[in-house]
Amino acid sequence: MKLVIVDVSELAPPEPMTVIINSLSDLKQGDCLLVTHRRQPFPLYEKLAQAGWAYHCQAHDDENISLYIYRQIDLLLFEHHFDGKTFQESAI
Amino acid sequence: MNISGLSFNALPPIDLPFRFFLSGPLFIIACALLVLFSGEALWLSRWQPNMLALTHGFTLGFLTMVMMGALLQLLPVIGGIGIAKPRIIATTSHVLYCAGIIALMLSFIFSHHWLTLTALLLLSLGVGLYLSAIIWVLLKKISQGDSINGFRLAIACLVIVLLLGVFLLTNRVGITVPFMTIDIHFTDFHALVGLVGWAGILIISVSFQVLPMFHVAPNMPKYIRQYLSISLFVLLFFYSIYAEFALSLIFISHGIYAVTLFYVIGQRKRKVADTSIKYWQLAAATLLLLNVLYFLPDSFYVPAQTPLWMALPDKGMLLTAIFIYSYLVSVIQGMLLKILPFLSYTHLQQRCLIDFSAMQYIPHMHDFLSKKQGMVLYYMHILSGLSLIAVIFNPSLYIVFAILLVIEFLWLLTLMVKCMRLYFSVNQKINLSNKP
Repeated sequence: MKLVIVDVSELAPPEPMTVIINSLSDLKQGDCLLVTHRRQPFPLYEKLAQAGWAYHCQAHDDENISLYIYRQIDLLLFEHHFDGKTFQESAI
Repeated sequence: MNISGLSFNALPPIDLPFRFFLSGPLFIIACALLVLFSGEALWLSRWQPNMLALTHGFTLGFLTMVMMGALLQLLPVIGGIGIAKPRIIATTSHVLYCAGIIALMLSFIFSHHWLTLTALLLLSLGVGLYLSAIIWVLLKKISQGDSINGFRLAIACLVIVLLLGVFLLTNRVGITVPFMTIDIHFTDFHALVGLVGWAGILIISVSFQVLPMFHVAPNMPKYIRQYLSISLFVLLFFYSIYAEFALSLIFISHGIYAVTLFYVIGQRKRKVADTSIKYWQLAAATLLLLNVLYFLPDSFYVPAQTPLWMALPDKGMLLTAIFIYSYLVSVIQGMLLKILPFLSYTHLQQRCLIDFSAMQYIPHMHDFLSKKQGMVLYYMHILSGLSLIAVIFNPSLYIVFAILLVIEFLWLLTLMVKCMRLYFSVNQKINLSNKP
């Protein structure tokens, strides 16, 4: 599983969402998108789930989160690359 | 690992906040007509029946109305959880609330008991229903940020304002409560908790989130985020014992907040020209002006003693009018300029997660509300604000204020309708493109 990284932490709304959608539309089957942001995009979560995406959010502190987004069918694959704390491109 | 909807909620349907937003300017236009037909006498005292109708039209019809709509969206965005059954609760409370404000304004103007009772019933039900839904969310274990804690204090203030208002209205229809003295101090407390507690603390708490979020500004200093709202809340209760002392500290606290606002705005990473930022700066400058006006010696307000070429008008009316119009209304308008296009855009954008090709139909953010249209509103607001101050000095200018008010809020209404129409037409396009 390859990790595609985007940093939207210094963008004003609605640019973070635009970047996320564009990145997801380009995301190859079996890859994972890592979004670095300042806050959790709560309202996005339900829409992601409805659209067949799965996600995992790590809140590092008040102003720093990592959001992993991948296709729901790639759940097992993601779990092979993510140990709960860090993501490794070669399977664990 | 969160995969599906477990502990969160999506944004409520866009028409729910929009119905609150659209109602706001209509109440101000009604207020402008009231100013027009009430004449100079309206400005003689805050106790004029039509003045009571006017202040409640502004505070309930516009300020609280827009804030109620905005909270529906802000809770899921900031706290991660929205109200349960949003459609039925927002629709019912909105209808009851609008009818309640109309009945309240008419009850002040015509002084009929049945109008007062109707207002009492409708407002209690409307605000009560809305409050119970919001309190249900705020009692949950949602994101424990400083903004959410501020929301809790602001909502507690709204509960108190509502209860005090109920006592005041029941007193008007002749029902007295034995352990309560309904006097000027009681009414002052009702007004202060409404303006500083409900509206003020809510705006301060919202600013902790929206300035970093929308304007990529640094966070407000931690001590401001943690202690400002709670200090104001405590000071409001000190007001009932040491009125002057508490009021002085309330003004000083707002002065400190204003300086912090200027500082945070100045520290933005991307200093792009923005009308909402201008509104925040106007609001901060207003708070500093209010401090100057409040701490001026009393002689400035007495015709025989003033060192100026003319005495300042009634201090209470002048400070309250400036606080409401140049601070609270300014922030709300500035926020609307951000929220209206953002909400429209983001609701459409979220549809693209299911169908990426729908991105082609989404217009640019500025098509919903352009910078130029926002600036026109800003200058109109400054003009009408100056005309309000002029009326308090010289009530014969009331026609100018009324006309400027109508023009400004008709323009705001036009911008809202234009934004909504564009949203629905694009939404329709996406619907059609999805049909097989």
